[in-house]
Amino acid sequence: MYQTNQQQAGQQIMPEPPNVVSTKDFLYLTDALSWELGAMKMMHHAALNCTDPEISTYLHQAGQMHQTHYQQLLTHLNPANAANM
Amino acid sequence: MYGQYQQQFAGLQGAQGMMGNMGMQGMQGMQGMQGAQGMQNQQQNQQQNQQNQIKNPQSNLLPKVKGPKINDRDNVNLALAQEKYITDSLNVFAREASHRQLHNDVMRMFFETHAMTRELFNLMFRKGWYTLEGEQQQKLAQSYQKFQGYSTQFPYTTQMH
Repeated sequence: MYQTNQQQAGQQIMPEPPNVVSTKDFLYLTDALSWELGAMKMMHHAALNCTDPEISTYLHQAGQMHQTHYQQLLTHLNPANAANM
Repeated sequence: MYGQYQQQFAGLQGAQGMMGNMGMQGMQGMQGMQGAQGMQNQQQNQQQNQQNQIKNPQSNLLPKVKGPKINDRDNVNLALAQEKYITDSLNVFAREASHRQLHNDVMRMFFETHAMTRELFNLMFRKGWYTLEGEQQQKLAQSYQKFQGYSTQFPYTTQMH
């Protein structure tokens, strides 16, 4: 009992959580990746099925944004990314 | 006098029909007509809710006979619903994220997705697919007074406006 207390006292206090993907983060990340994938596919499909070029442009922009977000989220899962260790 | 403005307005609308939809011009034309009626009629306008409508002329992108086929408005509407859903979800994700870097990344996506949602909403407004209604000035004034009165309940001393 005394020992564990001493160990804790010797440990540095972390001012905020370290760059570690928690179990909860992981579940949200995988969820969010699915949202973004679904959104980019849906936007792309809608853009191809529009008659108005202005609307089509906007939908493609939205689709591209979701694709970018997908790639950004994916970096948080990449084991090669040292920040995720 | 009034008739002249009406003709001008009709002309403006006709030109727009040919050029396709040119953003806010249609709405300004509508407001210009209201302005021409002068200050006298303003109170009357406020009583008639229809006069307070803020909208653009409908674009001619929709089929005359609407069937089960997904049209342009359906497509933008679905896209808008999708963006709304994602902003809701990212909001929760950002709040629950553990470390700062993840939180910051998700917050940026959250802002960008909100901005895109706004773009799609503006797009639909430009196409004349959203109608807003200006609230009556009298109602605003009433509520302003009421909530102004609650300032006696303020826990902090502030300068009264």
